[in-house]
Parts: sequence; structure tokens; C-alpha cells
Amino acid sequence: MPILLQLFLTFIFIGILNFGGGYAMIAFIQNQVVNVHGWLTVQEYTDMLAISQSTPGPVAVNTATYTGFKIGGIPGALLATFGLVVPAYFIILGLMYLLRHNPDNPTLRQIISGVRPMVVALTAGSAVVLAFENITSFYELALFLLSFLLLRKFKLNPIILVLTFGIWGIAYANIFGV
Amino acid sequence: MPEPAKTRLWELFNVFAQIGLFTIGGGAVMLPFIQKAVVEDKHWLDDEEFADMLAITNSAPGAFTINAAIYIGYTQRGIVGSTAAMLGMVTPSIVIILILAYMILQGQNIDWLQQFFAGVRPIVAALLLDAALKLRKTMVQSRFDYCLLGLGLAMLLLASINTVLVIICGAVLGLLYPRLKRGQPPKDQPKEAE
Repeated sequence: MPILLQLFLTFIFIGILNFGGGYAMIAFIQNQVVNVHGWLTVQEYTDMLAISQSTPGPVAVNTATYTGFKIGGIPGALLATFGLVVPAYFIILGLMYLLRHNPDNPTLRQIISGVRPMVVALTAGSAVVLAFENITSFYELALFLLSFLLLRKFKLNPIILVLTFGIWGIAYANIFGV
Repeated sequence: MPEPAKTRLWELFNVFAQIGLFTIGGGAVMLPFIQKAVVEDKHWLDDEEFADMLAITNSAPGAFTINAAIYIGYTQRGIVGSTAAMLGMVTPSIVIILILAYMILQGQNIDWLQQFFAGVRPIVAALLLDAALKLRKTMVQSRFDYCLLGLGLAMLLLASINTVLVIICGAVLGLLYPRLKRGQPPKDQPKEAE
């Protein structure tokens, strides 16, 4: 099988089978890309993760793009990324169809009403996990508290917040040479 | 215009490209950005619809952000809208990763990028906390909802249980609860808040 087709099919497979998104995907993709196909070594996969976690965009998309690029250049990058996305179309549009044609179905409503608080738990849970991971000094704690204040009290636009703190990060590193 | 104005495809692409461009780490981190753009700025979904969208996109496999782009795009312009939003979401990632992969292969210095994100990383937790507090208003109302929230947090933080199991647990309890409650005299009517 041509490698580009294999790449495309593998990422379709990843798109269908990885539940939980984001970080839950990482181990699953690693197994496919490193163990099953041997497209990247563990070291390369770790480097790639560091890059995709510190660049914008969904981690899974970044992983697909990077792996595809390494294996098949720009066509490889595009094929892997679109392979990842194709299953989501069918699944999401299917679920939306179900909900829109049965808006008052009690079973569906009950499932959704049970899932909703769990989504809040997932969000708050990742906030706590990320806080423990990324706030390890008083300097970082100060950045966290300041940004929380700006968000809650002054309703600052998140995009402006990210830009400001990012530029501050560059300035801080160059002024204080950390 | 007598007809309700259609969302332009370019606008869908553009909004999701901004979300894709400014969010680091993916997944839940994007939620506050999507909420701000889609509910507060553009009014494409109201709080209720946004809550439904989150429940569905989090229960489906795949990246939450891609799912959300497809879902929200569809509500505006059908399949074409889904495609515009999804392309908007992935385009910045693809471009940035390709440039970085190229630069790394050329052996160029990308320290400034690390420095930028050193400033951003501590605030990601604040963004998420803010999003969780905003979501709580529509998604957690009854005492049962609060029990689920507590249970979910305990599963995630104390027992490190997989997020999929947490979602499934919510779905199962949501199904069981009205059946267990039946037989009891109906006290409070569910969800008529505000």
C-alpha cells in the first residue's frame, strides 16, 4: 500500500477511535505512529509533542500535520490532517441530526442533562491539572492571579490576554535573561 | 433586509481561524475562546444551545475543537458552514507546524517562541477556570447537577479516571436519576430557573 494512503487511513482510524480528545489522544496516537507503523521514534514523538503543545491549535491536528510532513512532505501533512477530521463530520452531523429530529425525546434529554455537569467538571478539572503543571514559582502564580483578575473583573478578551502575556514572556526573558 | 442575515462563510472561517491561532495546548483550553466568540460576540448560539453543543461534542470521539467547529458551522450554514469553520480551525495549526518543522530542519533558533509561551502557560489555567465558572451558570443548576459536578471532579482529580468514563458516568446517571426518583412525590419542577 502506498505510504500516503496508509497515512490517510491511519489518521482516519485515529479520528474514529480516540475518545476524550486532547490529552487522551496522545497515548493512542503514539501507539499508532511509533509502535504500529514506526513512522517516528519515541524521541521524535516526544519532541513533536513539546512543539505541538507549545504551538496553537488542537494537539491532535498538530500531531497529524507534523507526522504527515515527516513521512510525506506537504501532501502527507494535508492528507494526515484531513484523515483525522473526516470521521468527525459523520459523527457530529449524525448526532446533530438525531437531536434536531427528536428535540423532546426524554432519553436524549436525560443523557444530555447528565453529561452537561460532567463537561463543567472536565473544564474545571483541566484548569486544576494545568495549574499544578504550569504554576511552579511565585512569578508564575502572579501571572496567573493577574490574568484571572483581568478576566473576571475586567472581562478582557482572551486573545488580547494571550498576546499581552506572550509578549511579556519574550520581554521578561530578554530583560532578565532567564 | 427582511430575511435574517446569513452568517458569511468567510466570517465562520475567520472566527475559527482566530480561535485556532490563539489557543495553545488544544482541547479544553479552546473552550473559553469559542464561548467568547460564539456566544458573547457573535450570538450564533445562546447559552442553552452552547450547553447542548458541549454535551454532544464532548461525548463524540475526536478532537473537541474540531467537533465544535463542525457543529457550530452547521448551525449557521449547513455542511458548507461546517467545512468553512473546520478549515478555519485547522489552517493556522497546519501553517504554523509546517513553518516550524521547516525551521527546525534548517536548524534555526526558535527561542522566542518558547519565551512567548513561557508567559502564556500560567494564564491558561485562569482562562479555563473562568470558562468553568461561566458554564456553571447554564450547565449546573439543580442539586443533582451539583452532585454530578462534584462526582466528576472527584473522579478526575482524586482517581485520575479517564475523561471518557466520566462522560459515560454522567450519561448513565442522567438516565437513571428520573427513574429512581419516580415514585417519590414530585417536589420541585426540574429546571425552570430564572
